Amino acid sequence: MGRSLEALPALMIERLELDGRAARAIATRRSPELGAVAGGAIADLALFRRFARGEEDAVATARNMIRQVVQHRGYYIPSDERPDIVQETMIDVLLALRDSRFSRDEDFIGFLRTISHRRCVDWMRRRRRRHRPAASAVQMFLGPDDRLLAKERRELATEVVSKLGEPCRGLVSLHAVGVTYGQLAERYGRSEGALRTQAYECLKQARRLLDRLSRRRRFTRIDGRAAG
Amino acid sequence: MNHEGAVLLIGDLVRGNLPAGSEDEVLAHVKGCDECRALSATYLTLTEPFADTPDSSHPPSEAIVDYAMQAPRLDDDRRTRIAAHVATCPACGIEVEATRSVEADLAPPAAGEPSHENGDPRERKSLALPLTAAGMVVIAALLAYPAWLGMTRIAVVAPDDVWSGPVALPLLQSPLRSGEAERTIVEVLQGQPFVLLAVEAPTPGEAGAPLRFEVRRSGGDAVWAQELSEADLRHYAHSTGAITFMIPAVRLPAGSYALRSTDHEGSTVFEAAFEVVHGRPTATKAPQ
Repeated sequence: MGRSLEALPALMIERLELDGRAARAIATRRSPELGAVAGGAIADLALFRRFARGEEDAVATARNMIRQVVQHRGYYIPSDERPDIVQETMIDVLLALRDSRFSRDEDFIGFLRTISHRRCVDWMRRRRRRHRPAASAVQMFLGPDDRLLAKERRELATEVVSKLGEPCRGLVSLHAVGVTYGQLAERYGRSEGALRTQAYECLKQARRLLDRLSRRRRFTRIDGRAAG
Repeated sequence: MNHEGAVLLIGDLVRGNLPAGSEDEVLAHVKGCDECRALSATYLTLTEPFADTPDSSHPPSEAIVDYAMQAPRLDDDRRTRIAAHVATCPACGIEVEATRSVEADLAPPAAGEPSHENGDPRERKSLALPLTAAGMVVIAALLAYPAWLGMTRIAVVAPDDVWSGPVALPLLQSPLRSGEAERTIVEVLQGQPFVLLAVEAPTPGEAGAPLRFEVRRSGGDAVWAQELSEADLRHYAHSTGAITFMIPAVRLPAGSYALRSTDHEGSTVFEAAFEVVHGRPTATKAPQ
């Protein structure tokens, strides 16, 4: 081997055998991916074993990984609610290990993230329940016919939302599930006032669409009855 | 409350998000304003599909996350049923979208997938291809032209010049962290060109600055060193969680070594001892 070894790229591994702390990587050809694959698998195994033994730094690492999911802006979880979800996830992970619901065929870091996502989705559902429109608002703004024709109105709304442009669709749907304009403003780096103005424009656009589609549906119904 | 202010608060009014004082003010305006009432009804209608289904009719969060992450444990039948539900349920659609967006940010790239930490990957790809092609043409021309003239002979790399044997990849752990005094034995096979050593990547909190990694002979000088920037450390901590070093075997004759990392002030943050043995076929661990 007369060439400069520093310049030799890492190797692709064909098989990775894990045994204790060591791994045997069967090198087949040059490729830059060894570090990612082998390093990841080894670190995962090591973390799992140390976590299962209850080693403090492994538990802290796992908690950090869970925290990364919970505090990600994609879930819009307020900072004061995050610690509870992290704790809830940690308990779930421990219970899953105790009940052998975790298989070593899975990777441990992926397993931590999966449980974290589940608890975040549960939180999204709780938020949705908390932010249902007030019954008084429904009484006040929807007429008795609207309330009776709930199924039809729902179909109409789904059609209108699908016809709105992407920015409006995102804004309306996220606000509908309880994300505040303040959180959206922080996420998108805009002012809350600008987002509220945009939401107002979206509502006006939706109103026009709603009127047009309602009229078309009424005509279709009348035409259908006449034809029948 | 004037009209311009009230229309900006309609969504929050309908959801009951306004503080009591503001709610009364907005409501007083909305009751006498046709446009505001129409927009409030629109908001209610529009957001109803996101909220009015009882939670019991949605797939459980486990199934939504498995579907979003395309987990293999979800069989085809169940996957199809969840897909059909998500297609008609905007609330579940948002859950799937959120899970995927978070996962896309946090999951390490699959093997072979390039990492796109900086810049627009499409832009980089579009530049990389023509540049690589142009570079290859130039190199080929430089190499081939003298050979074509008969002045030189192009060296051909023999197939057996490429190492294809097994390589042990031990994970070194620092007694500074684990409290264990163990020494990993690294076996180097005859002809093996390099040694692989893996260490756990420091978590981003720990890695606030570049770290220098070096291998030292026991009681002697450094035989190999590499510095990793804060960005590199952050990348490894987020993607694989480990750093794999490739060290030329010629630098590691049989003997005792330590892999050590130091911060910019020279303080040791990681140190693990290992023993290099030449000739035997496997990597094992032995008490110090």
